[in-house]
Amino acid sequence: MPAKVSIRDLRKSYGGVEAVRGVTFEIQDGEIFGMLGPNGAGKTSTLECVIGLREPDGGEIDVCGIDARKHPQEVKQRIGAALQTTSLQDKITAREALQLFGSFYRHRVPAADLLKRFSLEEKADAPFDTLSGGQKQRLALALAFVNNPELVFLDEPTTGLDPQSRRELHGEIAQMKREGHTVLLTTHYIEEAEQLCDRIAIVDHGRIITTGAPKDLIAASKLTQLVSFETARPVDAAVLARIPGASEPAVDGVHGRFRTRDISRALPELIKGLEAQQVPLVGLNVGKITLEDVFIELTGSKLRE
Amino acid sequence: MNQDLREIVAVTLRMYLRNRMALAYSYVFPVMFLLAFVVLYKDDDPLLIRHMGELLTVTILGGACFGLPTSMVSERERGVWRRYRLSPVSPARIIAGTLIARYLMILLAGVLQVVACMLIGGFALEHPFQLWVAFSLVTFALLGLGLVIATMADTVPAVQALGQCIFLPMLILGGVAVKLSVFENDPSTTWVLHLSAFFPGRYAVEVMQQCAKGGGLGAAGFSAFAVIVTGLGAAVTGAKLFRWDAHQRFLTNRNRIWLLAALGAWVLIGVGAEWRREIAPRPSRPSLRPRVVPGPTPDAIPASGTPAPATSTPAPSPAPSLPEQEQAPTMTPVAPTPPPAAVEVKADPVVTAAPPAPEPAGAAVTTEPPVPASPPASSAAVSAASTPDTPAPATPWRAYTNVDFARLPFLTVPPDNSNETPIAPADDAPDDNIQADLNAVAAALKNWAPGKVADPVQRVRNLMYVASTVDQAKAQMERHLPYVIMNVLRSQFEDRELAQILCWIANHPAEGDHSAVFRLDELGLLFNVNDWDVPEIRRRNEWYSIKFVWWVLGW
Repeated sequence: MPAKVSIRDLRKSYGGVEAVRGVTFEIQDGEIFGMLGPNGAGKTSTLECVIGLREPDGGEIDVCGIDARKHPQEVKQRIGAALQTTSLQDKITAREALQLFGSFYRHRVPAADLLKRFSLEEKADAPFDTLSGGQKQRLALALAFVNNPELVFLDEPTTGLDPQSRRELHGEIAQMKREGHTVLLTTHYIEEAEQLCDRIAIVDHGRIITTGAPKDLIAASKLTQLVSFETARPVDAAVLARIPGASEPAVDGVHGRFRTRDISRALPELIKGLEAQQVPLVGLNVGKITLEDVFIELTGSKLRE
Repeated sequence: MNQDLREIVAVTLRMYLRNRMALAYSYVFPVMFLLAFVVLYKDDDPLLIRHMGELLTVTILGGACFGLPTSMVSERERGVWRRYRLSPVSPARIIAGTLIARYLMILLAGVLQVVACMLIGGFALEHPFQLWVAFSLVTFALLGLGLVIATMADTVPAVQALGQCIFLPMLILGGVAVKLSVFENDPSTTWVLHLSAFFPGRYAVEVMQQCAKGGGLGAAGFSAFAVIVTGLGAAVTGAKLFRWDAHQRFLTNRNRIWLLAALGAWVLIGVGAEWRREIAPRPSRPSLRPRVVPGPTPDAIPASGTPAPATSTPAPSPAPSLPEQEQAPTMTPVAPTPPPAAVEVKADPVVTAAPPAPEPAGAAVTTEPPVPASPPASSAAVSAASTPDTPAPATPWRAYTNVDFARLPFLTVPPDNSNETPIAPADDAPDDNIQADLNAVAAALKNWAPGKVADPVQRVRNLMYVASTVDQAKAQMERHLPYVIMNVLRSQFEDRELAQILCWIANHPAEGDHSAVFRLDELGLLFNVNDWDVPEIRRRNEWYSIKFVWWVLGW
């Protein structure tokens, strides 16, 4: 099956600043694809080039099998999008907005259905400027669905929302996946990407560093895990020297720690060494490698710096 | 209209109606202007009738130069249009929907303004349909201007600044709030008239004023043209420079060229106005007040001097023009019998031949000696006609009464200070060169054969042709020549009789012989008059005749 979205060597500059430097990726049908990166990494610029908000300087963009650079209007008929912030006229109601935007498409979903689906029925006739941040974002999602799109683009949809609203939106996005929609999501929330996305692309300085399923990225990481333990009596540091692959060993009385890439081999060796010294183990903690660790490993910087 | 366009218009209108500030600005602001005009022009009768063009232009300007760009830039600034851009709707639809909605809002404000003016002033519109057309053209032009402002400005404060830069000069120097005639008579301010020719505001005022109370669109052809040209220039530029969001760069080389195109339309109409000598202001209502002219003092002839037809009824004065059948409903049928020679003859002996007079009361050319100007010999005819037992007048024009005069369309003739049928103010003396030319024409008229034909109607018509042809030719003396013609006419006819003849000519502009227009060279007026000029000259003869009726009657 051909990819739903295929981007090749996408480039975009603003003045002398290269925001997107040869980005290439594909999104398969029914997949939730995340672009993860810090602010200014080029995620939004990439997305805006794909959905026709910006004219790229170079590269190829195929969306639903259509050349998006040649036929942007045709692509817009098939996609839906919600930006970081959606602004509408202050006095327009949710119902009016859905009817207005629905009129722009060949295929449209009744406003009442969308109001119900996105839990906006109570606010259907309230002016936009009286809606809360979460309600506005739900309306933005509803607007992205007025044409029952094949493909949905969400640009940092939960930024600035309170935890409750964020959880509600996560539920909506999960619902999209269950309905078989293909979604491109940009975010700088690692948990969000890990929780929602089938695959993610880590983006930094306008480039895609790596692409893959979150667990595969972690598994493929060369990072070591930190093992720390506590014993009943002070332990001899020599016990750590016998653990294969252990690095940065440290013992301080009853506390010890080391790093390893192979936790399944290191832990039996540790327990065996402690038993040999007849020192009971009273506590053990194994640090988990997170997507953030992977991100820092790949980019050399933290996401929220 | 497609569904998307309908939705855009409907939503834009709803947003507008929910915005109290916008409503106040669109409907309260023009009312304030209206009240100011009521105070300023409280002596006008009817009140406000001469200021409809200004009031409506102010209304449109407010909505177009401020309302439209303010709402557009505000929405663009906040990212509303960016959301539109995500959808497949085209910029043309957005612009069209916004403009249609704005047009409807301005139209409503205009209708309210017109109704208020009519109620306050107690008058009726001359050409309501044409006024709607003119209003729409002006709205289109000024909305185009608003569109250009919206594309140029990045922020709402920038709209206010740009709008003021256009609004205030147009208001004060462009003939919108301050009448251009204010600047007309002082040589130190006449530059304003030339400057105003480059502002579309003055044309907006003029074309709507002519439709509200004047000659209609036909009498403001250049103004209508100017409005259309500026509108097209601005609309095309505004559409080409359309920006979805404020971050899109405006000042690119391509945009600069389009901006020049919009400004070029202003320059074009300004240059066109200069070239066509359309600089003088053209108030809708002619200043038809009695003038002091050299020559015989007209004696007021009572209306009873001429037997009024039994069926005629008094008409309000002045009254709108009526169809020709109604203007002289009891006119005596054409009588083939020529009047007595003594009554009609006032010709010089040098006249030996003249074109056959096709008028109903046509009389033979006589060679009788001239009769001194005063008292007019024709007064005898008037006296005879006024005798109760006198049979129906042999010449139908003699049946004209004050009622018929009052029914002339005084309000539709071009004003005296316009380019068509101008008449200089009484205190505006010609310069020496023009005076010398006028003297030469006056002298030559004494021996001009067409001015001596026996048929009084044809004679007056021929003399009026002199003024009309000179006006058509745009000769420098055109504004002053009517005084010379009036002197000649008054030297030959009594005012009442003259008014009757002029009224006849005004009511029958297509009748009579026009060969006199080709004989102006005999007066030293060397114009290249062609056959195709004749209809226009006849039209001017009609207008001058109407003005002269007002003049000789001292209304």
